[in-house]
Amino acid sequence: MVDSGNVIHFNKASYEDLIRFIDEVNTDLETMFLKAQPTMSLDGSLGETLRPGSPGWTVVKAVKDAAAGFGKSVHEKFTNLNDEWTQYVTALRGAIDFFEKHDDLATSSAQDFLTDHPDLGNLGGGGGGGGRGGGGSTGGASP
Amino acid sequence: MADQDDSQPAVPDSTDWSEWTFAQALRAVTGDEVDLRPLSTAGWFLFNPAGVNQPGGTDEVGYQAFGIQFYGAGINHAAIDAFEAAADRLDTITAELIEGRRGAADVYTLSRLHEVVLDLEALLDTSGAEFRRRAGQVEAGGTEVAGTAAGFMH
Repeated sequence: MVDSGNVIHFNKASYEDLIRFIDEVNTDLETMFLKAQPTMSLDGSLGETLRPGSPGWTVVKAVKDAAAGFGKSVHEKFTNLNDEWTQYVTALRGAIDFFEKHDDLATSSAQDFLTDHPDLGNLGGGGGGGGRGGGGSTGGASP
Repeated sequence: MADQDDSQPAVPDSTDWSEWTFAQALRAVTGDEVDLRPLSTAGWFLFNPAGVNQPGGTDEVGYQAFGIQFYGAGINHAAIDAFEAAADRLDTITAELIEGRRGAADVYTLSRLHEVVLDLEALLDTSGAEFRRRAGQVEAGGTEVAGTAAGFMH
């Protein structure tokens, strides 16, 4: 996605606010759902923690099995998300110097940015990444 | 004490509660095995055919007149003790069930799960909305974080 160009100036405070927001969400994710909780954790142990009745009753077994699957799924997805966001925030922090050096973003090429900060080009699976290695606009001879 | 009636499934595979006995429901919820029915139908008095119209008579209970025991019976103390013990167990079980925790059942784990899922929903809802708002600004170019390079972060 290429910006239309109507906003071109880097505001460090806004950028740091974005970093702070992502960092806060990530911290909430860790403290609320990824760290073991004293009473109940959303992970593979949920099926054992949940005690709706005797497992000899098919209804109870179904609930416990579903809870175990749900907890395991949430934990896996949040662990992946946590890892990606941690990398993302680290990369965002590292990119501040780029924006400070290139205050007028309209004059900066996306390829320059990705060359300096490749970690910001391919995060998040299919969500707009894939910038690495696609440019090839480093000069060279034209036909 | 296992008082399970072998003629019935341990726990009915049905939600037609009219088919359920109290003992089955208890077994399904807490895992306890207490059924007063067979205990209550056990012979609490054991009549002694040899004690009918007998002079004297040595049975525990009976009807005697003019020196003759017209009938006599023994008391099935084991059966009565079993019924009393089961009733006492039910008393304890009921008190714990009212509190929400008994055997395999703990209703507080269900309410805790409800709270955890609400927390999860709230986090996803609020952070998702904020992510969308910020992403929308980048797309629209209305933020000072936007720009040619910011498109790649988005």
